[in-house]
Amino acid sequence: MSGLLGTINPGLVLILAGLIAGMTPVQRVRQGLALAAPVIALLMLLTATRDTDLATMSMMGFDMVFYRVDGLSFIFALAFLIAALINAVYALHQDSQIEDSMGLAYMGAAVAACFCGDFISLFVFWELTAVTSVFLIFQSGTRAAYKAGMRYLGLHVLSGVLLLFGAMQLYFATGDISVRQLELGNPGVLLIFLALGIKAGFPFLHTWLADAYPKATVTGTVVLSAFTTKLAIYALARIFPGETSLVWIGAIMTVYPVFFAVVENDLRKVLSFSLNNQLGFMVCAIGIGTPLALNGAAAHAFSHIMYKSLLFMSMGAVLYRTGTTKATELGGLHRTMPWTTVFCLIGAASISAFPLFSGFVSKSLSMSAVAYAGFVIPWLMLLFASAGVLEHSGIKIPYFAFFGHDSGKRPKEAPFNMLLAMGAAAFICVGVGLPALIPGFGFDWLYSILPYADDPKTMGYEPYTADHILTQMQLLILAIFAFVVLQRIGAYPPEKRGIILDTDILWRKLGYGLARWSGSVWTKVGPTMSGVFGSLSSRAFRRLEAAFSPRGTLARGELYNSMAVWTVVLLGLSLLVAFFIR
Amino acid sequence: MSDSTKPPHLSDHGEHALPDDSHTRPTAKLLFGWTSKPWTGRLLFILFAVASLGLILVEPLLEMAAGEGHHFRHAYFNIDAITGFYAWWGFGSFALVVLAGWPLGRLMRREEDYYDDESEPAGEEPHP
Amino acid sequence: MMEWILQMVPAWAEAHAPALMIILPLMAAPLCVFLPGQGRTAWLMTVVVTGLCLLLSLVLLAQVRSVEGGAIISYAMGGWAPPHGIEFRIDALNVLVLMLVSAIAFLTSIFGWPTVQAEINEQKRAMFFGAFLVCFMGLLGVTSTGDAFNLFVFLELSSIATYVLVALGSGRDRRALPAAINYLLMGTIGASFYVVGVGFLYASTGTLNMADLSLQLQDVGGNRAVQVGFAFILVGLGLKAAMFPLHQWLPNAYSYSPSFVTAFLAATATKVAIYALVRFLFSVFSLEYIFEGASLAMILAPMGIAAMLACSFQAIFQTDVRRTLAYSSVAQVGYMLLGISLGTAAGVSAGMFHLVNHALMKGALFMAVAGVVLTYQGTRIHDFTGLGRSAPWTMTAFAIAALSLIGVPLTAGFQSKFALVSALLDSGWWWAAMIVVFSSVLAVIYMGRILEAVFFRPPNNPQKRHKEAPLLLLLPLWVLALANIWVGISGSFVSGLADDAAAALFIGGVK
Repeated sequence: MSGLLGTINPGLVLILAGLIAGMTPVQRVRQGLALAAPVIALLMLLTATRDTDLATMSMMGFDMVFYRVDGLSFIFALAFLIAALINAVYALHQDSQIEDSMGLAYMGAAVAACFCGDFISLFVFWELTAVTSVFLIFQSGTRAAYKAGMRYLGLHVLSGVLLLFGAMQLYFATGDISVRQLELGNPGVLLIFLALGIKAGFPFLHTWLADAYPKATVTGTVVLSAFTTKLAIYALARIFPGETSLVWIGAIMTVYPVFFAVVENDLRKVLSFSLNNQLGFMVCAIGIGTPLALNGAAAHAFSHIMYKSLLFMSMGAVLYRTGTTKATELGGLHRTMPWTTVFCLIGAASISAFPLFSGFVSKSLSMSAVAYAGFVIPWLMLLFASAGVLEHSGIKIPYFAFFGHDSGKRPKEAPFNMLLAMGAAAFICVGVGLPALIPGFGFDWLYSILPYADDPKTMGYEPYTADHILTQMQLLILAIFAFVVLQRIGAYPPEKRGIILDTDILWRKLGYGLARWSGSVWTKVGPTMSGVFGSLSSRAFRRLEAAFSPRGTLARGELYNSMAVWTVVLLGLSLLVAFFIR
Repeated sequence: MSDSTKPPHLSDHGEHALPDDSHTRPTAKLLFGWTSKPWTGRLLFILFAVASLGLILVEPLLEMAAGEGHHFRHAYFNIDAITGFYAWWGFGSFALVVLAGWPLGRLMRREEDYYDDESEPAGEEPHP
Repeated sequence: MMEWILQMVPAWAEAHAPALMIILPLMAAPLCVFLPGQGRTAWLMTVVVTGLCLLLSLVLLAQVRSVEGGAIISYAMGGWAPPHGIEFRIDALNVLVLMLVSAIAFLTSIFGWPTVQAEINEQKRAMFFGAFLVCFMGLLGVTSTGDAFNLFVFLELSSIATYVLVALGSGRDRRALPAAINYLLMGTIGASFYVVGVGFLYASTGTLNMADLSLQLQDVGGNRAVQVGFAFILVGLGLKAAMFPLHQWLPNAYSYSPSFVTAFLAATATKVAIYALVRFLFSVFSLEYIFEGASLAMILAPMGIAAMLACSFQAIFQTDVRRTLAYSSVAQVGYMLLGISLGTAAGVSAGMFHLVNHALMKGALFMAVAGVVLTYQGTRIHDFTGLGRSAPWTMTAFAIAALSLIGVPLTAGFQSKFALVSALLDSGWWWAAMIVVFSSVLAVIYMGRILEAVFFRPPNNPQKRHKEAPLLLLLPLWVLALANIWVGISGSFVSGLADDAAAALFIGGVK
């Protein structure tokens, strides 16, 4: 595409649509915008010229690149836009001005961020995703959602400022503000790494994810699940490919959420943990850094966005109809929600990487890349996590919601627009996972849009070998067999109401308490403490006064005002500095 | 619902009353009707036991069929060259994860009002 | 534009502008008291006088800018030549502050009438404007004088008038009286410390003229008396500037004084004190004195950082919007002090830049709060819920200023924080830059709380829907809000002035 239109970042189309939607009270118009904007943006993306700076600007002495498409940004933006379209369909039933507009702006910001060639504009969209997405959490309207949203916002704004600050530090060190591959070492780079780590849910920085996502609205969670973390994955793939520490970080990320997920009762929270675990696979692959591994990360991100949206959509439908996603209150819903059940099972099969589903063709790329690079332990951890994924997303989610113990709930089937959206996502999950019987279809299509599609290892990669199918089926069927056995002997831990502690207890209980405590100490007890301090130092105070107060304003000396004491303390300090520092 | 510690359904050997199926939609009966039959648990157990055994046993057979000097399996490391490695690893991992749920649940589960805001219901009113 | 101003202005005004700026409000203040009309005419007179002062400050700016690198205008009061007579000395540094003070005074006095009507007793209104003019005059005097003792006189004049103004808030809230007394005690301590310090300097040099002082001090060198004088002046002016932990007079004074006074003081009073501090640190004393460098690094920088952190945290836990803003002011003073404590031209420039920007945003914020007080009676965050729908114009301006306070790109706050972080990184203080960034996150939290209540919660009093502040209030509010955006987009004008100001200290200046 040429001319002015070709220089517009497709994300801006969505942001603009979001702005207009924010000012439009008519539901139909907003629906039209939500559907049309991703389509227009998709067209713009597909016709965009690759590997050139399409829109640049120089501001405040920085060379900014607003729009640049290459293989890596293409596949992420493509997945984002498809998800945006599906989300628009999924949300057709609801009439919420603020959610529509914020959702569109949020999706647009994520898309736009993919095309940024410099850290300043990346920062702007990075923060925009945080600020707009938090409304999807607030819109639930509960106090829990509000507080979780504030925690979410705090961490994400911190991530943004760390990014900006790291980039500035880097700029002052190197004079280059462009987004490029970096090596850890410079403190600025470390800050950027940390900023990406917060958004990507690195261990100990991950708490916001399972905290906030389950508290968002029905449609909000679906939107949230697709963008924020995958934007971080994109940025990691762009900036830190081959950073070996990521292999281990990723491997740990795949393992620990599995344990949280198994005891968690809220099924949307289970999905959030599972999201965190899937991110681990991508982070690990990025750490390997070979073209095959990066292809694996990108392919996995693509299919992950689809099946994770699908799973969240099915749980959203359950929440919409029954008002809860707690495993203890659900069960037996397949009787009245058969289509939702089918779609959920397709999502479950995809995330568990059954052959013929998208997870199978995408995850195997990363797994092979990790194995080729010779990382035995991380590879075994990933394999362990693959069985874990099957446990919490493949079995637990559909089993406890739709089968299992009958809850007696008989809700209606999900609204048609939800089914349509789920159907579309399910179609992609299956379509991408099929064997390439006709060249260019099935997994071949996915592999052809990968960032390093011409890498010989990727071109020669064939997921559907008898060997691979057999081993994968061994892994999955034996794991399911374990489930059946454990259920029969009653060793499967029952679902119980309650919440599961995470590392965020550190700041939700202790940190918040400490901040509140110190706040009240400072405002309430502070004067008293100063008073005690004052009486202790009043002797010294009087002496100083006698010496230094010729005007006699303070000569009476009984001024037990805390601030007067502070004045003297500071004066003493200044005198000490003035006298003794040489 | 109830906090029954009894695992539902699969351990249900048919001695409980069957759930009410009067609202069940025809599509659902067609697709998933079999899951609420009394024999489902036993059937699934047998089915998966057979499938598991078959998947493990087929490996040495295929390996033999590949002939001398060729390998059916392309192992990355030494450890995964063991016959049925994926099967054992999958079974073991799954069992470990699930069994870890018992102590972990006891260790990390708290009352729903632990953070004084979590106990609230989800923000969504049901639209049945 | 600068040449155009110089052409338009008559020669006598150009020549006597420094003196006229002081004399106009000084003469108008007693007149105000005797004007009839329940304060309305006094108010009109105040607007006219502050407007004229704004014009005069523009004339001075044009004069200073007419010479490359900034001219120095020396005006001998009454024809008595310095160093014996009192000298008014305008350079690039204080012309910036003069312009800021008179612009803010002009804008606040326009918006002041409705709030004064609502908050001040009919009989006291004329007196109120008289006191305001004295306070204004004092601040201008502090800024323009070149004489250390004369600075004390103006400082006391403005302070005493301020105590009166704060105390007049008792009509709305009785807690204004203790706040005023507290402020009076503290302010007096600060002023006496300052005058004691000046006394020490006079004892060792025999002069009070700042330019002369700096010359004489070079001969005297850093003896004990000079060091003691330095310490007293630092603490005295630090107290006036609300340097942490000497800020404790400020939150109460800002919270309980009349809305008009809060808006004016928040944007000017501490700024003038910071100016005086900068003047002493870099014009009278200089970095050649080891004790000064040490105090910068060991007192100003730690106190600035402590303010940024402690007061931002305190702001988070306030339930009253005015107190939140007041604590945030102390935190922002921390930013300025941190910039100044770098002791580099870039640092001082960033500090002055932030000083101007902070006046713009805090002026706008407190004006918006005044609008809410006027129409909805209440300053708790709870009283602000849903106002985004009931008073969209007031609250949009509030939001713009709040974003600027946070430091969102395309607002003034971003530009100056960016300049500050650049200056800190230039000097290798990357840990301090980290803290600046971190405290900006705290600002997101404390302003975010208010914004969230304003825009995303339903109004808690549905009867009072769609009641906007009066136009007289909205106009100056929006001027300031748009100024925030203007500086944010093309910051070069203000940052250029700040650069000149810093250059005046480090290259030419008083020496």
